[in-house]
Amino acid sequence: MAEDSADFVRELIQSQRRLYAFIFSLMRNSKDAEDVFQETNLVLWQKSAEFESGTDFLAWAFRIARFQILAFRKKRTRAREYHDENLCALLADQALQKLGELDARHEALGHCLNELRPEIRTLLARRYEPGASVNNMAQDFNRSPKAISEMLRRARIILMECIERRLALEGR
Amino acid sequence: MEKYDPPEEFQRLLSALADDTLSDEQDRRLAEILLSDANARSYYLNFISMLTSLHWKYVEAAAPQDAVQSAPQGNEFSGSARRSWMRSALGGVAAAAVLLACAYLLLGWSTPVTIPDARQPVASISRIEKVMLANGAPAFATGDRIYAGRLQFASGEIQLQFSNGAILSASGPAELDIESEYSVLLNSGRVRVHAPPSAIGFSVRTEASRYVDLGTDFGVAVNDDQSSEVHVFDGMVLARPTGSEQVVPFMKQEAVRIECERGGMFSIAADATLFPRQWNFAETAVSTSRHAAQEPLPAGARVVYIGRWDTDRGVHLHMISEVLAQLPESRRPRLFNAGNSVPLFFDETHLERFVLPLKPTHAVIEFGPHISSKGELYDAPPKFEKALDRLLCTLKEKGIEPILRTGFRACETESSKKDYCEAYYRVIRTLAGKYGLRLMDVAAHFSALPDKGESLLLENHMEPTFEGSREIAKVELAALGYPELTIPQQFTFNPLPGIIREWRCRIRPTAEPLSAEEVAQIQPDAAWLTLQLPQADDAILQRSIVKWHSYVHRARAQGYAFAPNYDPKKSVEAVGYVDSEGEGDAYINTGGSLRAVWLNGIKILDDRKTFAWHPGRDRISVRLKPGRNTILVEAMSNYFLSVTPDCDWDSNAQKSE
Repeated sequence: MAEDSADFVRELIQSQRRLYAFIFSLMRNSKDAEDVFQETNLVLWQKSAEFESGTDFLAWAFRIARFQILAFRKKRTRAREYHDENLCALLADQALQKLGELDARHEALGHCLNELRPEIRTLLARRYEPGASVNNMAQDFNRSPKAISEMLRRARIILMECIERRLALEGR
Repeated sequence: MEKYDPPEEFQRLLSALADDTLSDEQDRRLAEILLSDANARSYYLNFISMLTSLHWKYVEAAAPQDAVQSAPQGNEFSGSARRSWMRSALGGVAAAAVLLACAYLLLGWSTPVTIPDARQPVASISRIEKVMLANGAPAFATGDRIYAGRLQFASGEIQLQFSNGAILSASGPAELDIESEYSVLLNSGRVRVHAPPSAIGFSVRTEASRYVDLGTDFGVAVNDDQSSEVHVFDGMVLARPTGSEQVVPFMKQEAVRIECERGGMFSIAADATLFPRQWNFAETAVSTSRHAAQEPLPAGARVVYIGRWDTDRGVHLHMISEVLAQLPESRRPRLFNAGNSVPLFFDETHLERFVLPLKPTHAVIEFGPHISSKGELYDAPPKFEKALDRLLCTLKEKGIEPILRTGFRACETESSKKDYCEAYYRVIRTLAGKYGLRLMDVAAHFSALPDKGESLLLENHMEPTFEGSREIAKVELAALGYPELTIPQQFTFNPLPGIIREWRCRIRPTAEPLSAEEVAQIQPDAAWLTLQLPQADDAILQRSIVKWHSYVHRARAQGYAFAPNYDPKKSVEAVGYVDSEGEGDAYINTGGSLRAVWLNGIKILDDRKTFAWHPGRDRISVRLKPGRNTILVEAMSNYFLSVTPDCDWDSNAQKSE
């Protein structure tokens, strides 16, 4: 039993980033995604006895996450008003197909961040400070929110291009 | 798949999504695009994957390396979370990672995370209010170090900051055994715990149960019948009744009462009002400085800064003085830069010559990267502690309150010196605690930054960038008692008072000192260059978007003269004139690579040993004659010289022109 629990916890830990990305991609709202993410974790915990070691944990976790998203949308009015189950299904399928490349992307991002100019890295880092928002960054940097948003947008484009380039070089 | 170029509109929608500013209308449009285009969906999923990775990476990097001990390979949660969603994420499972990492807490549930070292404090008192010991005697003071052992008090409130960043508030009567920086046994009373990511795994044990924090905010109470309660206000807490196999997670706004003997669990309403007051989490999370909030400096404070290169350059001092200028003059402390003028462990002679004349009430001793760099490595931390202790005592004997600052370079950048470096910082923190000194814990602040502050250092790793100076200034302002004052993003550097606006200069073919004969014969002629101050930026610097990041721009704007000598085998001689209406006393302030000064043919300064560069590193009291006074300067290249009537040359005086 203890070994099963350890396996389960390990799977749960290793799935976190991908699980959150999955939920966020379907919800398109970080606050809602946070709530569903937390609830999904709790449900996964509660259903841990149903999980069989050696089976595809992520596929199982994604399935439970989709139920949680649906349940969330039913009980919350602040969820995005526009929801298309077809889109959800399309994204979920495609997300499952992409699972294999996520770790490589994550790793490539690490290299690409190092290639950014230090001030851009600082800007991105600020974005992830507690309570950070484009508005308060704008105050800190004495720029308009639009200007900050634009700088962040460009930084993300550079990173996306860099990741693709690295993956292409690695033949992925 | 062919390369997909996302259309501009799609890009902007993704950007709004990433910035948390996507409107419902934009969301609908985004959904339409995604529904109609498989390539867009693929790009979108990659984009979300990158956003999530960015969160994870920055959050991981923000965690102290030793926060989670022996984390398993492949564990995505070896780091920490700082945003709320991450907190909840970690709340759910990262802690489980920690628990796994610590091997026993979750499944074995008996082994403490760390074995306390009785010689090392595990926490310090960051706030205290009306705390009385059981016998009625006043107890503790802010800044006191807490070692493993029992803490018992009859009344009042106390807040402890653990060295892993956890904050625990307790209200009396309470009795708790501090077991380690990760574990507290609550025998009676109520505590509230805020555990930032670095403190995930922090546990509160009671007789009835054990509660393990998963990056959260919660309260624990021990009732008279020895049952205990946990109230979760944010994140997640794992609870396990004593002697039971059962482990139950509790989420935000949930609470449970656990019986002591049978381990029965009863759901109750979470109630934050039952627990000691909530502290300012944001302040604690952002500033990882492990020192208590400070009172502002007293009126009339005169603060001398002693340090090395970064102090000497004085960029953060400039920022601090700009910010303090917002205060009424009566409450504005005066800052004096003595950076690099004296060794950090100066002797009586240095004290007499450079420090005491400034009549300081406070002295900030700024340790920087040199603490572990070549030539300045004190061979053993105990020796360092002894020397620093002696220095602090000397200052205190002279009525000067010392303020200590840790260095801004993360120790691990120089791995061979890492142990010493961290040991030095520990010494600094310990002595600050021992004497109740203000502590500017820049090292802790930098360590908590996503890249450990690496991007905030210049290539030489010995000086901070302009942004790095901002971070340093932020920490220092808080320790000086002005955390509410913010540092502007833009700066203007103006000529300092008393600069001589026109100099005639020439390059000497030698770096040898000027002889008396040479001095007597100097007469600038048409072959000499003319330098008009303040000098404009050169063409390349003018192209720079943020000019004030360049020390050359700053120095020129302040009135340093940059003579065109780039050869260390050559030197510069320059002549300037000061017109005085009558005979009078004045001070000549020097800086830069200036080595010697003559006033009306008489040598008044000859200092070829100093490494200090800041304006006013030497202050020479002189008497001007009526009419034209001639000043001759010998320098290596750039130099600063101004003539002022004020006997002080501090942050206020430097603004007076």
